[in-house]
Amino acid sequence: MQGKWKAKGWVLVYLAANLLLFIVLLSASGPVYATEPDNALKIDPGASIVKIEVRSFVYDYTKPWSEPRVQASSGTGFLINKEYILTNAHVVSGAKFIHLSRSNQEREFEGEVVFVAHDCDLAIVRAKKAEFYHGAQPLRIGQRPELGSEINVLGFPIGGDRISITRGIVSRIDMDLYSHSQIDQHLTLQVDAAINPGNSGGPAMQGAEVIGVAFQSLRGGENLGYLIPPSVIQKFLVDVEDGKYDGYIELGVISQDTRNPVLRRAAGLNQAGLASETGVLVTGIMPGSSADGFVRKGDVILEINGHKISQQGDVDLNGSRQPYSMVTDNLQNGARIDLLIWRQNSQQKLHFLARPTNVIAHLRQDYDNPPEYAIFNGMLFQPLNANLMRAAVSAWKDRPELLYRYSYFVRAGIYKQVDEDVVLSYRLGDRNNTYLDRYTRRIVSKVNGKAIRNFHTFLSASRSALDQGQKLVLEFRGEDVPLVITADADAESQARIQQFYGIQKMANQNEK
Amino acid sequence: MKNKSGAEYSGRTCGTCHPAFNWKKMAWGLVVFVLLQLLWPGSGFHAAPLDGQAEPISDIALQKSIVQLKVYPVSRNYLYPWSKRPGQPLTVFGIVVPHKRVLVRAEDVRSAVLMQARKYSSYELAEAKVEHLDMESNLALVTIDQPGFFDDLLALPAGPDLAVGATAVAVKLDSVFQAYREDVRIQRQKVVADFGFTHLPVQVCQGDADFASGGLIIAGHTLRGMVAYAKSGTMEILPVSVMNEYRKRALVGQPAFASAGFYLGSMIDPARREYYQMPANLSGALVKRVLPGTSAWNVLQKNDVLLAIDGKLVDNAGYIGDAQTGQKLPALMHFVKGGSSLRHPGDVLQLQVLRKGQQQTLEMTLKAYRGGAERIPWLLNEEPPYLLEGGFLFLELSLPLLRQVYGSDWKGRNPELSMIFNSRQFYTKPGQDRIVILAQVFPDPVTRGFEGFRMQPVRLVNGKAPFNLTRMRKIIADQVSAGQAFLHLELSGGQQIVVDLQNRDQINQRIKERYAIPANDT
Repeated sequence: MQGKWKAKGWVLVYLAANLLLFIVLLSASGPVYATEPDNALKIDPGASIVKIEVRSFVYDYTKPWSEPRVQASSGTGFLINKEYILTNAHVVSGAKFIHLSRSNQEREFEGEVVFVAHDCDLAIVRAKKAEFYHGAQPLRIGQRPELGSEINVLGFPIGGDRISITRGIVSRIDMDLYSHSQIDQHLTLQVDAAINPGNSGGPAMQGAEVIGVAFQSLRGGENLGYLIPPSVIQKFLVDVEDGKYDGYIELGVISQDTRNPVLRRAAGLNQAGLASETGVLVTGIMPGSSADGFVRKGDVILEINGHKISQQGDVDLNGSRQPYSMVTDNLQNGARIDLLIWRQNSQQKLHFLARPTNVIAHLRQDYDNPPEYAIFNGMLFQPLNANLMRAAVSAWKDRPELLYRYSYFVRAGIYKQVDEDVVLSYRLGDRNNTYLDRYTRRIVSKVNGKAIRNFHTFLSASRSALDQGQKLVLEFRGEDVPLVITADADAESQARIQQFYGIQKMANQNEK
Repeated sequence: MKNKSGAEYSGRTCGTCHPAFNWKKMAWGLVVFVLLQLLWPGSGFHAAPLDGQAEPISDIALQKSIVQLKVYPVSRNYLYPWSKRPGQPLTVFGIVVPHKRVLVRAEDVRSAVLMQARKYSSYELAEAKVEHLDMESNLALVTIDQPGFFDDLLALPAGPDLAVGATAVAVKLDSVFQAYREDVRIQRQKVVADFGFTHLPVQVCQGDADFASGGLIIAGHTLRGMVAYAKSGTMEILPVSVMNEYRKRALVGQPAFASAGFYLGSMIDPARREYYQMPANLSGALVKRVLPGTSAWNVLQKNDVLLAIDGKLVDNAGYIGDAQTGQKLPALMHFVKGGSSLRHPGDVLQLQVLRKGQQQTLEMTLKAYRGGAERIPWLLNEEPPYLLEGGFLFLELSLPLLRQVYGSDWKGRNPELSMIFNSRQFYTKPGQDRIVILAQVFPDPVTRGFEGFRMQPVRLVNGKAPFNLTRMRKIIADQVSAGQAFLHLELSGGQQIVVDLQNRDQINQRIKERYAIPANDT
């Protein structure tokens, strides 16, 4: 008991110290106004910054039949016009109820998602009632800030209920992983201002302009917060102008640098008339991507949309060096891509249109749909996608082929065999499947002799066989002996398994 | 409970540790001796009565049957295969066997560059040599050339193998040949393969002391086995019949043990039985894999159901049960003929199988395993092949290499190589192809930019699969003699590497000098 009181006492002292610090900070900000007036905060936060409270569904992919858990979370957003509030996709993913409030409002308002872009972690929400917008002031999106310039991050992070403002500088500008989708890389701004849970979706400001959206931080380092830069925000806003979000295009070139002098000589890259510092060697093309059908393995890409590519794969973009894939990252679907390439000892020009590819769609976290699964004879089958991998990977250490086929999907050409793998992930104990444990955590290769390409072909082949009273002969990768499920056994076990394990639906298939 | 009674027993037998007790013991011994002499004049101590009740075997008899070997091993660095590193010298005890040989565990001596033997009667060291080494059975025969070395040594007579439940004494000797004895009881039998594919019967018992570096199992005054493996209170004992079998056959240069070379899966699941057309009245186990170059190769086929071996029925989980003893042995134990005598290479077994729904009788001639099944070997000989070219080191993928690079949990560390190991470890037909790996990139101007590509399989060499290092060497030689300027390599991830053949000698020379690599690769 005493310890508890003591702890509370410390909290009070801590709060008091914080308050003091805050006051000092405010008074200290005077000279800053004088020296760098452009970067100082010049908005009324209460008119523009929105606290977003969300109740969302979270699915357990290891028990995909179970009811979703309701998760409460909160983030930040800001008005970008009379109606739209910009925030992060991860703030509103799977949202069932959204409540919005500005810090100068006495009540909260119900909100709804208008657009969500998981590949760049941005979303637009709006209030359902016009009353919310009384006295609101939208913010303007500015230009990318300079490296080292000062910024303010606004939001509603943990640690209190009122709005928080933290300050820092832009400490790095680089391509980085957007951890929400787990596979997409875009430009990011690294800042040293404190960014904490709840800051997500909040604006980073210079003067009266938004120069970034706070979205993630790096644990393990110190003061490593990340912002989504204006270029990614603008691209998203342009994309949704037509009323729907199309997503990123995929250049689809897998390449290696050409620093090696022997490789350069063998490829003829040292010939007269060719810039000696240029080029990346193409080692693979992602199927269905923009480059598919135009660029070939073995080509050396010298220029992309007029930007010279260095032998390390960088381009000069407005004075800063960035990976060459940055050049096409902001292109909309259907935009033209121009390449200067080196093929068979001569320079050639190529042009093609930017397009997205869905080949790696299953490697991207899905937040919008309930999990897909099917249970036959108590055996649980699921598509091996990012959600399942994330939930189950620690339990699959003894099955390296699962991790291999998932993480080398493009590199090892597994996309030629399948769109996505289907895995027998779990056995719900039943008298009909007692002897079948050996098949769990294995990938289905064939159903009744027919190779399957994805969960949908698996499900339709299996269902049609069972519906016709045929037996299901399932072949697995890395297992010699097929698993046989008879229609009788499946039918006989169904009611029992539903009752034993409280399962409402024996399968779920989402529309594609 | 067992430990307590063991301690009691060892107190009674260990004459050297407790002088006071010893006197008492000797007095009792004298009484017993006198009584015995009175009852059966001339019988002496050596008319050993029942096992376990006998007068303990004397230290001198044990000392005469053991040789201490100081082993100086060298360890191989698989990432720098030309380099050797002196390992920690170790002391192991070998068992004196007839024909002036010493029997040891193969793994203790396989990498020895120097071995010195010492016996109880002298502090001198005599040089010892490995005469025959078999990693499949993990046994080796050692000779000692010094004249007269064996004159005052005497192999213990061999008794029958111990039965499950029998008690015996585990003995090890310390550095001055003083005996430590411990009571043990055989708890169960099992069949193991230390390395490789040759399964041998071992007996499991518990033991307190560390018997890892060799130990004798004695009952009465006879040898019943040697400690093959000891860890955390458990010992595995190699029965004396197996030791003798190995010795007799090794002396005439013949392999002692056969390996079956097939893997069985269960036939319990009704749906699986139906799929393989297995009648309900039959029992048997499914043949899941047959390894090339083994006894079962060209005899059994994948998807056969093995029903019986020499008339003994195989059950649905792959065991052969003995109705009289109640013991269940894995079907591989057919190598044990009755009690504990082993089948030999050359013996013929009758196999009853169900193939595509038809019963057939097949004859399988037992063979020793002499390689041929593994694409990714579990063991490398002391001079593993390597190929050094243009600042790159190429190796054939092996288990020791994986263990060295990624540690004992290597399976979780590199999903690609783990997957290759799981799916391609064995040949499915006789083959010589290996997984060629780019193992090292030596920093040099000609390898700049390729440093990150190490430990990746090589997919293509000038458009051809490298097959193995011998074939890859040939491809390179052909390119060189054809006057080609470059060698193009593609790794499993699609990465391209180009090797300069024009300045080949100069580059190879430079790399060898800079990184102190001996002149010739193998």
